[in-house]
Amino acid sequence: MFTFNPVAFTVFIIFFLIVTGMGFIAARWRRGDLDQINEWGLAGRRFGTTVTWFLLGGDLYTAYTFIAVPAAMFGLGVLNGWFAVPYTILVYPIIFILMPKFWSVCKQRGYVTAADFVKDRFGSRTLAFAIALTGIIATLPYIALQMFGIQVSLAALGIPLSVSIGGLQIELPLLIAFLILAAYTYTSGLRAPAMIAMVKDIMIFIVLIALLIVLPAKLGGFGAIFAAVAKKHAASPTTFFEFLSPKQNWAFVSLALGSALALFLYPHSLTGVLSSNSKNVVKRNTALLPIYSLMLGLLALTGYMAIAAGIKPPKSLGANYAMPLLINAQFPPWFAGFAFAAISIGALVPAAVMSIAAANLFTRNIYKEYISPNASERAESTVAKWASFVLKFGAVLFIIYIPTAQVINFQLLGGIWILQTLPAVFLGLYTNWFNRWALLIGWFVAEVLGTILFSAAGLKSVYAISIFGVSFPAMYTAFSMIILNLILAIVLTPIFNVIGLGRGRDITVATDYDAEEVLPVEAGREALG
Amino acid sequence: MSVQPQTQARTRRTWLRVFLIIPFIVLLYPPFYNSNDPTFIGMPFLYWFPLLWILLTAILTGALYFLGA
Repeated sequence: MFTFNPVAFTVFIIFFLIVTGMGFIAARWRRGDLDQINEWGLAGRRFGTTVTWFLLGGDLYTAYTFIAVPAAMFGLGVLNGWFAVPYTILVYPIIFILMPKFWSVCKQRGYVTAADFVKDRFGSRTLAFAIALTGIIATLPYIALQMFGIQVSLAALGIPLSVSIGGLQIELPLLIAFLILAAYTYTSGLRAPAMIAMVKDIMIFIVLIALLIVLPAKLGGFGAIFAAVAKKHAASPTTFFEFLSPKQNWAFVSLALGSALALFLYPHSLTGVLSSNSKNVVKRNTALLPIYSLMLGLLALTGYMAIAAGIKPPKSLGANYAMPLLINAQFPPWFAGFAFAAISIGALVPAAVMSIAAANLFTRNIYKEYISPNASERAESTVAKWASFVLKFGAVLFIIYIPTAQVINFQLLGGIWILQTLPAVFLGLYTNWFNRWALLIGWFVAEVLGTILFSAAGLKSVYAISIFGVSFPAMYTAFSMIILNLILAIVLTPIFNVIGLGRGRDITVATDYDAEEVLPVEAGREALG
Repeated sequence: MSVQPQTQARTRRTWLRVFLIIPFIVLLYPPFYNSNDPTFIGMPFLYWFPLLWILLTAILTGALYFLGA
């Protein structure tokens, strides 16, 4: 299916090497003591508007954006692919309201993770443990999805995915990419993805602009592209949709809103926010980051362009290869090499931030809380570095042993899991009214039931629930479960308070949430370096 | 003396944030834009309208930032 092209391969390797070099050099950028978790895992909370824009953009728009969304558009159409556009629009008003508060309390109290905050806010180590565990487990399939993005790029370049060593099939190219990533994350911490993100984002924008200039012209304009899409819907009216059928409205809305609420509960998003140097940097970025949403929307349309171009990925590979096949078919090899380098590097940045963020959770809220409470700062940082290594390795195992088609489904399951931390983390920013045990039970029931519904639906995240003969329209399981979760937390709180199940002591104070700060105006130079 | 303007600034900022509800109302009611017409450069309404709202929402959050919300 894919043939090896030396030109494409050379271009790919050159960019990969440049980025690897940057990853190691990043350790010296805005030098700090990397033996402190605050420096390794949050880059000293010193990033200005520009760096934060690149880092968050590089961190939030992942292989999901470049591979999974166009693939969903190509294979299933509007419901499964296009909800990502309202999703990535609505996330920013939410961030505008919530994240300055979160940044403020974390800065005032020196928190590194959301679980650090929950522990103090609700006075519960157990609840903090639940939040940390959810963050780590929900992140694993997300890292695996990034690895999958690299795998798709390598395959599209015709690089053999597995090499036989002593009779064992070993996915050598992927392992090499993983080891390089692990090595510079270990040495440079969050500085590495922040620095690489700048290269990644510029490369991705170049690829996108080229795609948008060349493809519609070649394919006869958007009119012709959408005519091909309409034809595909006519040919398979029950599986592929150009417009939402009335029954799909609820699924579309709940996917968009549920995903928008979930995105900034993920550890890697919060890590990006906490590494910025002020609340205003976060606010400014809610107006600047939508540039990436526009990119996502336009990239999604390349899935439709692949339909118009008559791309037919073989069954064994599936829709995820539609975009790579389109690039190979329509562009010269040097550009294909560049584009796949952009996609791979585009997957490395979030993979690095995710593993750092999950490592921070493990170190702060599991290791230091339960295993070694007296760990020094240096020990804490060392544990975090190794944890990031182990977590990435776990993700590699995930991708090797779980069929690739399922990787994306598991990432959606991750979304169901992470959204259940909303009451403690987001509502916790406003109130400590909830009883910690009520939050814990709401979380637990929603997680268990959400996972059961996910598997009952055949590893799908949209499910039509019916209770006592009343059937609700099909909707995103993350969304139905957060409603259940909230109801439980609200109903159980007064009950537990009455029966005397202890409330935790909130050690944060009102002023923590609204720290006024006086910062020098950012000059362009300061913002960059 | 210095307390008074600050309090005022605060009241104003809370009030302005109400506008952030607009993109939710518009985008979370798909029957409103789930149609082919009007098309724009060959793109159905369902596709170009959300793309337009990416820009409009960014302008909204940007404006709220500059107005001190």
